[in-house]
Amino acid sequence: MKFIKSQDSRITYPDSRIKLEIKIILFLLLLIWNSGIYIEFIAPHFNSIYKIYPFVKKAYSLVCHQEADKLISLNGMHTMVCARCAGIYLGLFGVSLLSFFFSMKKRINISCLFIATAPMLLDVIFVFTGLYNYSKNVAFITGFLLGSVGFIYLYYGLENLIVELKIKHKEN
Amino acid sequence: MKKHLPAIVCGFGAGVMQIVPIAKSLSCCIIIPVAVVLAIALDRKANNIPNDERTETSKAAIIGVLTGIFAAIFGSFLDIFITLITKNNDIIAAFPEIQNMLGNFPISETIRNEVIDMFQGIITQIQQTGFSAIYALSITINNLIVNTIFGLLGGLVGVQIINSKIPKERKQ
Repeated sequence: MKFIKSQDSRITYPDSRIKLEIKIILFLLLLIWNSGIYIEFIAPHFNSIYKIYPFVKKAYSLVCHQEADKLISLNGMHTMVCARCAGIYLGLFGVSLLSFFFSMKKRINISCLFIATAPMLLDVIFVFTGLYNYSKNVAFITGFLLGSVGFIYLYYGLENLIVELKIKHKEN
Repeated sequence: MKKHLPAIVCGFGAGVMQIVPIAKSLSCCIIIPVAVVLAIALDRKANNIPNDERTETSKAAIIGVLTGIFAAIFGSFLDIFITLITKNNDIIAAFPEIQNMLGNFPISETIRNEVIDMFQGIITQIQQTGFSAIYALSITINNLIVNTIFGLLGGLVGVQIINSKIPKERKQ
């Protein structure tokens, strides 16, 4: 594995080949996860998927309440998670795809993650307090915003992990 | 064992939140990541780590994975235990919906019957004895995969939140 040194010569970051590997791993994981969310839409094209459908539904119940009126539905088919969660995962997937075309050299302050979380939290609070009614569109958009920004920090985290493991490996 | 206590405590909390009825309705994709952030904070407290010392990403990743694993173990145990007592669970509740869905989609009669027979067998076992080996195995595998991945992601992002509180000049 090759690493490059940053300007302060203390922190080393992976070179572009490893960065590409991280991006590919994240992209594939998110592709599989997002495919599962839309399994009802995919299933008619792959008959054997029906055998695992109830287990997939149960798996997604771990990460979402799956309330029927909050799921995205089209022609009688539903997503496995609510509009907000679907937005988060699609946001993660969308930015993972975009990350192939943009360099992510410049590190963004963690406060951006809190700023991106704020609309979603406010939406949850406003709906909960009855200020306005639940809207799938608002839930999806606020979730999408969080997911899009969240990917950047996920990427940074994975990059930090690889750097640390490499440094530890060198020290040993 | 003591050094894994933060992961055990937070994993237990997350496992309960994911499985126990009522608490389950609050189920959300951020339960495990939030539990991991709490576990990292607890670990810092338990080890008397000074406020200006950063937590390594690799350590956070390990705490994240462990929290996910413990959440999966406690969650699976609770799920199987509740099923054993009540002789009822999500699969039974969702079965009419699954049957309805299978009836609506253009799949062969053989596959439709195969899927229905398989789940009818699981449901009969659960209703008669409160236990189905296939169900228990699928739940455990599901929980382990999903919670471990979410735990790892929580660790990678969570450590950045925890470390963001450290003054810049002390960060490496």
